[in-house]
Amino acid sequence: MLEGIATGFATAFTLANLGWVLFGCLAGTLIGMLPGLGPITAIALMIPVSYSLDPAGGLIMMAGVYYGAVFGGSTSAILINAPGVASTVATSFDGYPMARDGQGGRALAIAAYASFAGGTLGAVALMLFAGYLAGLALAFQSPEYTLLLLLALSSVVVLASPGTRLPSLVTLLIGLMLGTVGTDQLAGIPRFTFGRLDLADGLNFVLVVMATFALAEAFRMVLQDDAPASPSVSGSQLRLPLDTSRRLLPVVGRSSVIGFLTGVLPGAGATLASFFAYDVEKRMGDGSREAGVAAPEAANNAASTGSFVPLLTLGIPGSGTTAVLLGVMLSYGLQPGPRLLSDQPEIFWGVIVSMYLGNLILLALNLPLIPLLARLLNLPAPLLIPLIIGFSLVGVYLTTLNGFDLYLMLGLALLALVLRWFAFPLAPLLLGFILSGLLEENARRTLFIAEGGWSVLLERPAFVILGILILLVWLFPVWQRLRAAPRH
Amino acid sequence: MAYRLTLLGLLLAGLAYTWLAQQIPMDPWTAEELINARTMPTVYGALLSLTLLILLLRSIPPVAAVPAGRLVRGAGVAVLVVAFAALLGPLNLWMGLGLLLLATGWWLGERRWLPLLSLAISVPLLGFLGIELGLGVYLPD
Repeated sequence: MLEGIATGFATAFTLANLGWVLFGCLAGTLIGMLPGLGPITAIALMIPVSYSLDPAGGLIMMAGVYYGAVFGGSTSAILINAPGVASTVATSFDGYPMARDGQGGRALAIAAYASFAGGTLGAVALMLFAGYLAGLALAFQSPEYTLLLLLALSSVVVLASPGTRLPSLVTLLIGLMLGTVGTDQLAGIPRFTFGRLDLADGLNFVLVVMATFALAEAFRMVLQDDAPASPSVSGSQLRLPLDTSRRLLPVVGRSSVIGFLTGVLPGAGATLASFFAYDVEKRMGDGSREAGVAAPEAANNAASTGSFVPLLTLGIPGSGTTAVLLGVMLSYGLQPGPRLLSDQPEIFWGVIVSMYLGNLILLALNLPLIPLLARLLNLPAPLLIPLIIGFSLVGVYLTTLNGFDLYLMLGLALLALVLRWFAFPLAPLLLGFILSGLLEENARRTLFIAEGGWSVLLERPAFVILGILILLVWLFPVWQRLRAAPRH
Repeated sequence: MAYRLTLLGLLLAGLAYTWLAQQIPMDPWTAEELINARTMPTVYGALLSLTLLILLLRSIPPVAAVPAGRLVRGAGVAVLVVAFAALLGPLNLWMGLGLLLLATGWWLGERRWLPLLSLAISVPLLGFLGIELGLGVYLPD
């Protein structure tokens, strides 16, 4: 393995490849910050550039684009509550309130450090355990996914504070219901489309997230006359105090492990990882806003790295982004899979080392940019609010190129505004929307597998473990009540 | 009152959704399956209605009132968003965006023309140069 790592460093540390990873990080960050353009779009837009490079250089640049775009998405999520990609939604939960309180620079700095740490830990884990983890990824099939999704959905409701459990369930169900709009994936039957072709593909993710977060937030600012506090970002705000760093170190470590392991599972990806990590820190950590930013950022970057495990070792793309990357590899005549490591070690290890390198460059590149980005919040409310509205509307239009979606977006934003006004949490709505299709699809496949009898499922160790975990989550309120009983 | 009305509206929407779920056309291949195209929507709709009923029976949490003036301002912004969507065809994305930024800023109380015009011109221009020309993203006419 050491020989492989040395080969990787030799491949990545050429002047040309260093230049390409720098270019990739910069382009990815800028594209990721644009409304509606996420890592998949960023990589797709860079494909023509990659054709002019050799395979190692092209893939190294793409790794930089990937990380850059994920971080770029976090920037808009923190500054204006407009997460352009699903994996940065959880970052906005605490990142945006920090920005509103004049700590936008601090939140961006924490995001940058946590992303770096998560990505780096992920790259190290990829170097050490890629082979073993490929087996784990294969063991996860529809029955396990169904339970994993149920675990995520259960946690967001059951582990909420007792007063918000029912409101969380309401918004979760609304999200799940929004996810059922469109053509049924297995039977091809239109559902809740009212005969409109615009709804046949279902509601677009960017539309739902921009409506419920960015546009609804802009309306809330109009109604409450509550613009973010003006931040003054100095170099000192970018340096985290020692006690904060010490406090966040275990958060980043835990979240990176959660992120990497979730990212390894094909289909689960960075979104689920960031929600899981955020949830774990809020329920079991110190619950601070800093931890709320660090956890999803470390997790989504570690998960982005983890998603390379099934791609590089099995040739299976675990996410939309790695599917585009698989296309790039195939266009170079490379066949990712078990033979890639033995046949072309310089490519395999070069890509892995470039991930580490990409994270390092991304940190060096983004820290100086933070004071400039945070200045955006210095705009007075009558200029900032139109900017947020314009940003979200353009983001949705660029994604769907359909004017009808803008009306739909306005309707959803007003619904989200009302729900938020009455203290209904909106995070479960997004989680429900994102996971709705996956849950239904995997539940149906599980039934096919269980056709020979339910006992077949009990022979799967991961299924049983996840089942027990769900049971424990559901018993949590009972345990909470029993623990509180003697005090009354 | 507004809280209960909201819950009632959501309850009606939940019931309507459940009823619509029952009207989803079925094909002969999947109709007999335990989970077919109707199953999950029916479960979600029924669960939502039940949860809202429970919430309706509970006490009302304290909610801050919105002054009427602010509601008018919010409604005005919503009208401007509708106008932007309606004008996408006759104008184009970038010209529409410029007008939206200008009109929304003015409606929200910004009366200094220099910052208002700077925003309304620079943002669409940067979008056009960066997204349409730079990245080559295709926008329909």
